[in-house]
Amino acid sequence: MANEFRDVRAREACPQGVNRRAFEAVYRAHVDFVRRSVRRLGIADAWVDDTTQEVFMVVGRRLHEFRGDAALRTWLFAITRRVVQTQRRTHYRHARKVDALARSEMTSSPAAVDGPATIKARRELLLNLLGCLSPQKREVFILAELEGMSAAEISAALDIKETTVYSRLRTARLELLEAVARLRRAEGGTT
Amino acid sequence: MNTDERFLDTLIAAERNRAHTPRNDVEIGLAAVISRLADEGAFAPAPDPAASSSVGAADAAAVSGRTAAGLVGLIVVAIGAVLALAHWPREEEPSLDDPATPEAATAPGAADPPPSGTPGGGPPVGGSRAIGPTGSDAEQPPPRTCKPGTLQCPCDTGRACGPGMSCTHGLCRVGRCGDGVRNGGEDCDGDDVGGETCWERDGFNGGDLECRPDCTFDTRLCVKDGSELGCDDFELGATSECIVGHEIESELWGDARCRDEFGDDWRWLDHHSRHQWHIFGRWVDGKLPTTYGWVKISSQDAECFSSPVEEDGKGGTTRYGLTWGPTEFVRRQERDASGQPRICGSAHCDAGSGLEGPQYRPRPNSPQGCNPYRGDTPCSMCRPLYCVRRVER
Repeated sequence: MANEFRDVRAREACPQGVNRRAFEAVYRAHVDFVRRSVRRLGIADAWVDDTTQEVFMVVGRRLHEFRGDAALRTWLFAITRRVVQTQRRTHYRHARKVDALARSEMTSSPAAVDGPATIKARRELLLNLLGCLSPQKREVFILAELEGMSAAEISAALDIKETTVYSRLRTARLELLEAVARLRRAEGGTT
Repeated sequence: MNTDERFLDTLIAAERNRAHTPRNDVEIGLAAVISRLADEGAFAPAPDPAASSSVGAADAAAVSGRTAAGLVGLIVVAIGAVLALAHWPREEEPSLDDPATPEAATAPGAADPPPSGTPGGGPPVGGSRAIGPTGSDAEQPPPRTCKPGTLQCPCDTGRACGPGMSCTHGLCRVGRCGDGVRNGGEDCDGDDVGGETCWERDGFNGGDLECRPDCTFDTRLCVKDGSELGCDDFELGATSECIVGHEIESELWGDARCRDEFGDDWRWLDHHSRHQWHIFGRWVDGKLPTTYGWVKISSQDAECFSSPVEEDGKGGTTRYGLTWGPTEFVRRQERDASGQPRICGSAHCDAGSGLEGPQYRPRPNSPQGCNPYRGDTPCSMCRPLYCVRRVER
């Protein structure tokens, strides 16, 4: 009887795990957002799927901890940026295993500077330019300019003040404009 | 606004409107992560059969009410309820566990992308004004109900739009996506692409314009001046002899085996060769393999020489190796010498059940086929190696 009582108390004290259907719903609803964020945070195409999986492994383990005091997407982004940091280190360790076939594709050059003709080329160029920003500014820029989040949401997601959100966004855009100008000058374009 | 600013905004606009992940890729990824989490015991105990007969918020509430403790249960219920209202179709979804419904991976509806102008799945949460150029869109979310009979009006996925209409891709449309006929606001439906080609899309100038299960165009097979690697850029081959998985010693061993059979510029096919867990190419002599084949993976221990030893579900233990399956498709716009549509091939990480039959489940108690994390097929089985060669043009 004593053991049974202890078992019951232990079950009550510990989370019983995540509801699978709720997890599946979260995955389907937000996998696009996570994949986009992973890519925009600088993970190469070849590793986007794997990194996305790792984000949702963390989500699956911790969904029962989600308190609802922040939007689900901001909570997911906070997890994503931490996983991306870890994955970068992991991928560097694995780099020597990557065969030349994949490597040659990952290093394809960005599109022409005088106005990329295709949407795909424009996206690639923007992702390259994002790489010029510091991680802190890049995160704010992604959430504000590409995801349309409010300053309050970004503040919650990144645990920074709203005034910091605005200042990072402003400087990020200025730095990107400088990068665009340099790029266009280098290719003979006019500003 | 100067030229640089306009230039930058053009780039931002292109990335902001990024297309959604193909439904099949979503299901493959979901199945993989579900399998891993289940192995970790991350999920709450399964509900009783009576509880599992319904789908949606009520189901989540019933399950959580029985199994989750206190606040944890309430949180999960709340998440399930919100998501059910926001994203789930009202019709019952096929179960991933049900071997009779392999088409679950392509069922339309549940993962419809957001309406244009609301990147990421809708207006910002919380009612705050969005900052940046998207602010104006975010301030005016689309109406949440549809006037019956109104074409192209915004709607919530799964909501009824009136007689003969359905809510697809966030808009009410005539007909139903998946009926094989392009109608209403559908870009395409099945093989009906309305005469469109890759030429009209994003500056592509060749390749195949396909149709996604949600009736939007799929340009993954489109090419532009050879910059997009496609069918003609890779040659695929399967070794003539099958190889028992346990005999595979290393990646180099696999590469050598492929070179021995096909030539110096061949290598063992890597899971990450083409970024999206698949590769398009021409199968040697135009012949598709008749079975799945072993592939290697650079980032995970999922080959027979690297994967962990696990229980095989029959009282023993085994390793599992990663396998891909073959497919072929027709390039509608291109004809061979006899005037017939050209056939192209591919290999991919297959969420289905394999060529051995719908009942075949390579890994016990797993709803998925391909498993790029710990392998999917017992290494005691005999499979060819899939090999690849980059074609220089």
